[in-house]
Amino acid sequence: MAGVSLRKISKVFGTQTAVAPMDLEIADGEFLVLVGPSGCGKTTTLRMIAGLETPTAGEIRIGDRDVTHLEPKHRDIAMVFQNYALYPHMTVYANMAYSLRLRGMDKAEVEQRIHKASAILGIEALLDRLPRQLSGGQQQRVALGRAIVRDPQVFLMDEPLSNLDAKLRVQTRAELIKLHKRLNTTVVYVTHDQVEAMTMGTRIVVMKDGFVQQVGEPGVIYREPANMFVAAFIGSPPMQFLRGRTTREAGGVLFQGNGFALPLPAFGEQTPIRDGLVLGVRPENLELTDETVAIPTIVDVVENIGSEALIHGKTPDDELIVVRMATPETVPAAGERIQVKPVRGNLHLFDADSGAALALAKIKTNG
Amino acid sequence: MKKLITAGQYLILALASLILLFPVLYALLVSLQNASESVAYPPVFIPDKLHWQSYVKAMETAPVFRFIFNSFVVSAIVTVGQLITASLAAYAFSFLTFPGRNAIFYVFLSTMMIPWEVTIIPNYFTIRELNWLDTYQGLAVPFLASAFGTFLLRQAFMTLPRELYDAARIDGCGHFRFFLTMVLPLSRPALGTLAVYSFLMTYNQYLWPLLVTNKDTMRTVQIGLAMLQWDQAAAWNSIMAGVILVSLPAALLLIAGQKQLVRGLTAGALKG
Repeated sequence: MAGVSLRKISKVFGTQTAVAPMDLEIADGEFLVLVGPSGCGKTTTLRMIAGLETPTAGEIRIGDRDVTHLEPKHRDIAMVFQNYALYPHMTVYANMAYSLRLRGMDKAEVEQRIHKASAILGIEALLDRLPRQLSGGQQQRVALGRAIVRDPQVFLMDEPLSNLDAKLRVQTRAELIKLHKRLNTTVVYVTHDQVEAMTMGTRIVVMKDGFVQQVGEPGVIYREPANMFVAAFIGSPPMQFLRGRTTREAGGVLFQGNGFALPLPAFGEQTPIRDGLVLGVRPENLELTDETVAIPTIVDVVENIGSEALIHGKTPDDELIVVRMATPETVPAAGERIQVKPVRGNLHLFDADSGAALALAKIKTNG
Repeated sequence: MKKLITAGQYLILALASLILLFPVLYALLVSLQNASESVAYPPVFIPDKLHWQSYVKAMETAPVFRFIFNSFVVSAIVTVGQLITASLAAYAFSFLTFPGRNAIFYVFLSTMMIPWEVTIIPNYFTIRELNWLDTYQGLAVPFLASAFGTFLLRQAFMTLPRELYDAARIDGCGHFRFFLTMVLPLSRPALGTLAVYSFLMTYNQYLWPLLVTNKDTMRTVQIGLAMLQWDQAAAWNSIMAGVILVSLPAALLLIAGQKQLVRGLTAGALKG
């Protein structure tokens, strides 16, 4: 087992920068998730760690070895692909044995490793089958098995769950977490799904257009996003944004949006007082209120799934706003005028132009 | 009504296949006639009884089995040669990256547009210089590489997912091992198509074997048939007996490989 460190690695295809120079230290045994929209450079980063792409510049180390120019087979890694890439003409057993045989491992040890891995994954009964005789979920397990038998220092996974149906995906997600706990091997996991990132990662790297936006533990990324992109990408429904400016009043900071003003006593002395700001609030931190000092909203659509309800509305300036009501007993009707107010959690102030987070304040809940 | 339409369709198809099969059928019938029946006017179709002696005569006049053997040897060499060269070239064009790859591939393809007749004279001189007239290598070597085969196999190889190569590389596979243990086994339909196609093409060759062989013992079937025609002048029953004899191996191969041939050709066409 070993950690991975990326030092100023970058990848340029022609004139297209796929990955801007990035530094990243992945600790031994960590489950690190690279997440971002398609084309953000996450897969290219993974392929560079695997040795399938050569970085344009920079250095990659696995453990204490510089592997930047090593062939994939010498890096002591295993990779699980989105489409599994099982060898179609080989049985499950042969698929798992292939890399071990190429290494010249003796038959008894190959057999022992395959039986151990297939017991962990519950695929002992499938060893004589061909990949096309397996369901998607079973193929996925075999792909994992092929990685596990190698007992690598690092597992690399490229969207391994995205070809599974929704139910199986949730189930396999939990199994992967358990598997990681059991094997305790470093995992670098690529996904575009923020739920996977939040639930599986011990740390998350959010990427966009080849640049790392933020690195941190899931909770930190969620509560303290570094910019509006991260705030909107992580969390579903995403953080709500309201444009406006701040002024200082007797009671503290006042946020003046378009058509409403909201006192924000939570913000302290350091808060920027200026134009061109965006107030960010997560939907679950908003509540309907009777107070008049709030955000006036006209209800557009109500989605009530019983355990929670999402109220999609519009502010007087046509900004969209979503409120998430937990345990909804009565919900407003479409077209109704309501008042909305942040009551808990964090409030964020972003720069409207750069999107960078400027200030963060926690609302004090006093009952 | 529906039954009527189906019956109509069957009738049209039956007629069409009869028209297509007529020459073969007629050849078979003539080969079983005696000499007078085969030249009778108006022509006789059904022989009064089965006259097998025309087959005996055909085999006596020309070494028909020697011709078939020659054609088989040459066709087999060409088939194996094309499978090797085309699959290796196709692998380079689909899995290796090197500067000018596409340009070279298009040059390769463009040779398909040069008619074979244009190259026949220089090829003849080369073979003669090598003293290969009247040899198997003289018959086979000019056909050992084919742009069509390379193209066909490249299209097939390109349908293999890229991740397969990535996975194999991580597992410790080099190019040659990947080619042998993954690409070839997974491309069996396309390889089969190319094999059947190149075998039949070579088996049916006429002009080239005519140019480079002079001895009877080196003649291939198509030349042999023409020989039969000269020797036998108007003995059509013997000529047709020869025709039936030499087309049997090709026909059997075609029947056996038909599915393969059609599937491979259309797969290449659709995915190209």
